[in-house]
Amino acid sequence: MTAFHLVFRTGLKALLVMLMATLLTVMTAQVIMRYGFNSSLLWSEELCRYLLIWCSFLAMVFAFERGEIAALSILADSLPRVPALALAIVGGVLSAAMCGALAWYGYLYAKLVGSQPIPAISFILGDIFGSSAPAAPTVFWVYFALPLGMMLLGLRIAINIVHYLRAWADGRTLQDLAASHGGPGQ
Amino acid sequence: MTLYLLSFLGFLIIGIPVAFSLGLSSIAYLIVNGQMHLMIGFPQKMIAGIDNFVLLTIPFFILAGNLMNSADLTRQIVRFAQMLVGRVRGGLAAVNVIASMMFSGVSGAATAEASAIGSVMIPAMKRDGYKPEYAAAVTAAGSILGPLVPPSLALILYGVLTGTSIADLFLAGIFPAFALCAGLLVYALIKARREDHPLPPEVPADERASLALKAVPALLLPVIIVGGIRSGVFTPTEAAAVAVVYALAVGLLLYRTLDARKIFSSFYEAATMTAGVMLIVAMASMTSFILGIENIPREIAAQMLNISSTPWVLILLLNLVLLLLGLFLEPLAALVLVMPILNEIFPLLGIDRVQFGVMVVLNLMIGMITPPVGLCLFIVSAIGRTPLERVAVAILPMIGIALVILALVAFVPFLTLSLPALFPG
Amino acid sequence: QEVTLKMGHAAASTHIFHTGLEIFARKVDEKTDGNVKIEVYGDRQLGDDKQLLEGIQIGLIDGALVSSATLPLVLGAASFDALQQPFTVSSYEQLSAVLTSDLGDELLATLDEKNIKGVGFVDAGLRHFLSKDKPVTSLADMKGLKTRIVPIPLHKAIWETIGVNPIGMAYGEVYSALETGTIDAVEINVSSIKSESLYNAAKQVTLTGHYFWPGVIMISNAAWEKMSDADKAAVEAAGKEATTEAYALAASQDAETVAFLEANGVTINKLSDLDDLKALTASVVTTWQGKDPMIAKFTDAFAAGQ
Ligand code: NA
Ligand code: NA
Repeated sequence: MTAFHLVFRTGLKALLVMLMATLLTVMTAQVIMRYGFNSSLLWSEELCRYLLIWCSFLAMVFAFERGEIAALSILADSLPRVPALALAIVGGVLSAAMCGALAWYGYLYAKLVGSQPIPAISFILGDIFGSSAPAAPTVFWVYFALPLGMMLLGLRIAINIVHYLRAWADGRTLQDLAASHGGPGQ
Repeated sequence: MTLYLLSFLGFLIIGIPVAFSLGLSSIAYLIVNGQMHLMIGFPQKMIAGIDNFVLLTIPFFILAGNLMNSADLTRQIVRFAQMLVGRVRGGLAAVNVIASMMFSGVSGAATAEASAIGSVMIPAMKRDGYKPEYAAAVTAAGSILGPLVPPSLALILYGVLTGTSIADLFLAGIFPAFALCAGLLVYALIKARREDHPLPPEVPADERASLALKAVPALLLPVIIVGGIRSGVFTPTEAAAVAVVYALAVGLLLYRTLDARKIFSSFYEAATMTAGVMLIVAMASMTSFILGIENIPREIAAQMLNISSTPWVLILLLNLVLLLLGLFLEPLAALVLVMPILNEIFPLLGIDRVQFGVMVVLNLMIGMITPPVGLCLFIVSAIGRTPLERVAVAILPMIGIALVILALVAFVPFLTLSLPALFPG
Repeated sequence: QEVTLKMGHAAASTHIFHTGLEIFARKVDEKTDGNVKIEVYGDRQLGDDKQLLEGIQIGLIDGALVSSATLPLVLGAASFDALQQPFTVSSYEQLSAVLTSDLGDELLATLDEKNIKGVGFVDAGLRHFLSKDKPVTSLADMKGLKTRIVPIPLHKAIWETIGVNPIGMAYGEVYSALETGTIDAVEINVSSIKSESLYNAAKQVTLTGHYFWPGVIMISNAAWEKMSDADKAAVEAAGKEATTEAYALAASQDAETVAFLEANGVTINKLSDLDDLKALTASVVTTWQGKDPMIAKFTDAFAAGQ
């Protein structure tokens, strides 16, 4: 694992934990404000939904690595080495291609419909700065989570395909690979 | 539509993950039908599927379960269950079931329950000489108690999708959960006699009081949640966040077993587990959109009405459709898919919304423990390091028990409706 | 040539939004000699308001009926705030007349730059105040009540001025939140109190009538350009007639609905100091008039008609 790789992974993990912690804080604050102080965060529900979108799409790549995206391994387990690897490569190519397509269309979609400022952030900025509040980032940045997440996921699957090809070349089986990398079907 | 189904099964069999198989079938459908201009709707449906405030309960209920587990609560619950069961043949299997029942008051999802109880109970049962597939199967069967006892993610989602009182749903799930728990216990004890399962070790008398005390936090959470919702302190969605704060407080202040590293990894793991669920919900939203274009929900509803308009036959048919879907799909995704069909048919059933909700949720939870795609089965077979096929065979009798309870829920209103009537809102 | 348009809305198929779209569909069918057919999809089958608007923009759906309240935030169509300035409109008839006048066309034309063709309006009904169990008969009674509002800047400004404690909450949670007392009140129209069975959870309605709840009938540009010029003109005419008919229907429904609610144990209250409330919220109208010239045009038109 390269240094860049390590920094990237650690950074992404920390970001996920931060997103979860923010979600928890906002929701708890809403309960306390409403019940305890008879006041309310008007923007909390919307903000939480957006945080959930980001958290979900960013974490998908790790969910894939940790084997939390369920798949059947019955056929692969019962096939000989080469056909099993070939099947894994076909599945990987299809999955990666789908992720790529979704990343592309997701980007188009975000561009097409994301031109307005994010309402929740506008409210927060307005509460802080009053009428001189700066413009909030646009909804594009909410939806951008999808192309980003899909791209990371697609790249991660592509790395797996490379591993399958190497295993094919040097005589290892799919099971050897799963044991050494903790890849899919672990 | 046949194309969609066949391509989905094809992708699934060659080992492509369920979520990707759904997505690839959607794309295949668009290409074959010359409707690629709708592809821009795919990301929209994915985001719309996730952009739902109720789904915020997923990360929080998973997180609460993770924290309780890291705080060693699971082991405390198991020890307490051991104390209750005492020295009975097949005791550990019974302990597993009872611990699952107690843990269900902490976890909102069956998967969280399967991994928490499984990580403690399956190794323990294996050490005691139980077959790994049996240890895994009992855990998986017990895990579906989780969504029947408050808190429950699936019941909340049903409540919001149908406008049913969530507090009522929470109360309604409790008796069926006890019934299922009793059924599993009886099965475990009979099997223990027949196969001469080992006796568990005795819990020393001087430990009993402290064990009981340490199990209290788990038993208290469902009370706090139902009470908090009923009295208007928080909404059912917010209850999930309250559960996390509670878990943090118990772990940091009472048990003093949580530290920064454990909290960090609990948060991280909850994020990834959430992402796994969300990916499939997102993909199912696109499937649901295509089904809508094809008018499938209305057609299925019409077909069912063609067969019969007698309520109990319809309920039976509906359960079959749900069980079928549950074979392949994760419950939340399945719920998203079937809701339009349910809305068409529900008025003809002459059944209470609350009773119906518990039925739907129990039904879809059974799907979590059936092959080919059952997330709880996957989890326990991974923990038990035993092949999925063997676990799937070992769990069959327990699925039978769950089906009996399902029939009771569907046709005996008392089981679900007596508790909500006793504690009206 | 013949075209079929799938149009959606986010309300139940028993809601006046559904009836209104069906009126529109019937008139379009008549006026285009069957050239243009419209299929109506309720119950969020094509998505909620936000998804409908996005769907029109990306060409996923042909048309929709969407609450005007969501247009400023989702589309940046700020002029539509003109329709919900508190206490500026005197009756359904007046609003209907203004919406079908040239001024209404001018407002709909602001959607052109968003690649949307606006053709008419259907109103969900005048908004009132539903509270759980405490009768609200004065401004003082409203102060500090935890009130669910739609979280948009205009409504936030109005309700903060009135002095309630505005709560942002998803619509799906409102019933249960009223039932359990998580919130005390909600600003809403009587038809929704009936259709969502909210009268089972909250028993006090105060007839404030602070603003109306117009929905805008929209067609995507892609679908619009499939029509011949003659059909386009016919659809626009159908939109105007549908607006008039739907507003008359909304006006006639309110009295029946209030009677239904009373029969189901709801107490109907009036605000003793309604004029104070009107005076209080006038400042919000002044602020908003300064934000968009179209808002001032509408409030002037409403004032002239009174
Ligand atoms: Na539970
Ligand atoms: Na299954």
